[in-house]
Amino acid sequence: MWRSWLRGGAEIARGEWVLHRRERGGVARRGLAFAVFVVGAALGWGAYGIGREVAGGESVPFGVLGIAAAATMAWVAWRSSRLTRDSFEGLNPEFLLTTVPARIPALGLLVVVYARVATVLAVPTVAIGVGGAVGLRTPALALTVVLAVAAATAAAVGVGVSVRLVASLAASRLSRGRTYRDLVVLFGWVPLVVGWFLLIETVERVSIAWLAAAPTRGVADLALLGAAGRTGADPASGLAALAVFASGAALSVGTTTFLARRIWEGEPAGRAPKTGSHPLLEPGWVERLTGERIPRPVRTVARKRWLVERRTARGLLYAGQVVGFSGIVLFPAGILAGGVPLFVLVVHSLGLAVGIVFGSDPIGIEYRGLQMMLTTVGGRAFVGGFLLAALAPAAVIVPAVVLPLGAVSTATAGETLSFVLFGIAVCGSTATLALAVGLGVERSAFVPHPGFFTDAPWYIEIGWEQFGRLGVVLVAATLSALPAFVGTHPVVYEYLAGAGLSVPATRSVSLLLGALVAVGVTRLASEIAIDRYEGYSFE
Amino acid sequence: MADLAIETDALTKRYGNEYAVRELDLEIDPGTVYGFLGPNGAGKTTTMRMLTTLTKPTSGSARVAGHSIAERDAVTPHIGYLPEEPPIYDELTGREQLEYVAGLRDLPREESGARIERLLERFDLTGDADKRIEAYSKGMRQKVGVIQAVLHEPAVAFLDEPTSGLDPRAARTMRETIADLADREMTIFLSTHILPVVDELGDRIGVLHDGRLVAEGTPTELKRRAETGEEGSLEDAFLAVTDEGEYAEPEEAV
Repeated sequence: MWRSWLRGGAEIARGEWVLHRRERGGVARRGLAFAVFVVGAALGWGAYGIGREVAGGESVPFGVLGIAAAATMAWVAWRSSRLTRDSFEGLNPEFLLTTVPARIPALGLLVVVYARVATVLAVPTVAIGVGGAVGLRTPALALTVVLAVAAATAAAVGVGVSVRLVASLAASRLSRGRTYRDLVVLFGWVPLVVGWFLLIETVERVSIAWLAAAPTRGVADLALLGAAGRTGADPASGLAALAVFASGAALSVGTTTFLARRIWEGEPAGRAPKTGSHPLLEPGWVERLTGERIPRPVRTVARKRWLVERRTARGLLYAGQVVGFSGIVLFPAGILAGGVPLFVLVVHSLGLAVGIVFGSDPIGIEYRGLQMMLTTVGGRAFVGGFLLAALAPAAVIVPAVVLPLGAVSTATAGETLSFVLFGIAVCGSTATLALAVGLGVERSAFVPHPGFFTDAPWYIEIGWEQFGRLGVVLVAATLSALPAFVGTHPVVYEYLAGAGLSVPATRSVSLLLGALVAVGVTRLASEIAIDRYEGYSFE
Repeated sequence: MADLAIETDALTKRYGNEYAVRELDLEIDPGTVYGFLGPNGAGKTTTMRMLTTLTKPTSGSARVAGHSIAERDAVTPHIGYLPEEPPIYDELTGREQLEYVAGLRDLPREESGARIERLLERFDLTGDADKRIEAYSKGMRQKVGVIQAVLHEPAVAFLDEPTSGLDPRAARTMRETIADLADREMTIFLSTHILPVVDELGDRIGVLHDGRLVAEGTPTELKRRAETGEEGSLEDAFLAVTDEGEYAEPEEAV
């Protein structure tokens, strides 16, 4: 019986694996393989060095190995949880449950998640094992390293899969479970990060002391079992760890089967459908401010974009990538350039973020209604609507941040106003650049994926190309704002002050110049986006 | 020629060496319900996408409501399109979806509001109009898709499987709606596998097979051509003409 279960599970895993390979582009797979080989080679070389040192009489750094093992297992559990989310929702329970017992797809889920994690870990693990074995001149070490990683990975995969399934079960059984779960997934890191910074010393001391001791020490003991005599590894601790991992893996099969069956076979909670229509035909505050100067189709596109954003917050997630860009690229570059004022960088980042929220991924966001859109409105209304959707919130958010700060700083009113215009203009150029780039993506590049705050799937692009395009948008929007960075640089305005130009005037003019260039970029990018929309075809 | 609702001239779509549609010639008068039939993979959806400007033809030309399909902006105000999967947003409610389309088409507010209510009522959707579409059944989604395709009373409506997923009562409402629209001089380009629908509503029928138009005529003419006799069913006629797959030339049934 077990044999047929395993065969069925392996068959389902194979099907999922094939789907995964087809969704991932060849370039992404080759890129990952290259990265894995580079990391593997580096780790193998490091293991060889440590092996040589231990062979020369140095002691094994068990504390560091324990921490590394704990970090790896935590990553495996997190990754497994993510992969479970993708694979589980992709399984077709109506078909599977009427074809095979529930335990077989559950087993298949575990196998495919384990296989995908193992694909990443295999080369580094073998490299570490071989490197350490060569360094210590103890071939058996390679085997025990592989055994330790394989066993620890199985247990961590079991934990990750089970945690995700428990969350899914709660989400399906509680009427507001999905909302709470999505809130935790999206914003749960905030209290963790805040807590980390508030209690950093205590957290570090306690966690490092705990990680360096059992139970993660057991992983190191198991990995070094092949050279126990030369490394001082504790065989009893290592074998105990193996027993714990083996039991954990077996337990996870039972847990996964139980949870999957409960999710598939149980009735979801009687969730009242979300109701209440937002009047899209009635005039709103945009009409009150602008009258009928903005064409109605443009306002309608913008209004619907706001409504969907309010309900699913999809664009808001893209803002996280702007935070990453600003933290890793923009602010360090500003510091390296010798002191571009922080305030300029903050306002620029704000413009980037709002532009990205409302301009990114137009095909993915419009995916389901795209045929209707293309046969209903022209490119000007579509692009104009997205631009309005970005500019209107920017016109509120940027002054809300800039004006209070301008009031308490030494900046003149003219400078403060220039900052506001600059931020809004950057938002416009970012949104239209994102639209122009996003409308170049073919519809076939998108696949359904579980979304947040909705039972309907989101259509997202698979692979790394999207991040490359986002990088292009952020860099282009930043380069278009270059006059603002240059003119507000102390070296520049102090030099010009020597020539008789007042500092506030130099800074204001440079900010306005930056805004002007951004407006030019907005016009250019809008035309490209309109062309791409009007030429968009279903091939 | 300018009076025709749909007119194609050797319309062809090729993917690599494979022909999806090959030298299609159609002439459809205004107010006609044109049943567009064909086996799976015959090229019906590709034809509809070309006629609605969503896919560019490899060669040939077509005019819809008097406008070349190469000019999307000129064609789209005059057409409505219901693809196989209704193009609607799960995040919106049914009413919001329809108001959204009315706003995009810049339909007069009061008139479109009243029309939306009337069509919601007709399709028995009023009670569910303020629920999000993500909670809708397939049939309800189909109804919203049809309403949005004809909301602006286009000159030509392209409907791909409009009765798919509908219960018998809703399917009857759909047939009655299509008949009403045709009475108001709207041209309906109707693709479906449910042959009795075409038999009942179709003024003319075109049968596509392997990308070629293998037969065209009224339902009665098609039955006669397939030698099934006028008493035979359209299904018999359809099977006969698609079995004859080697038609070299598209030809009139009579």
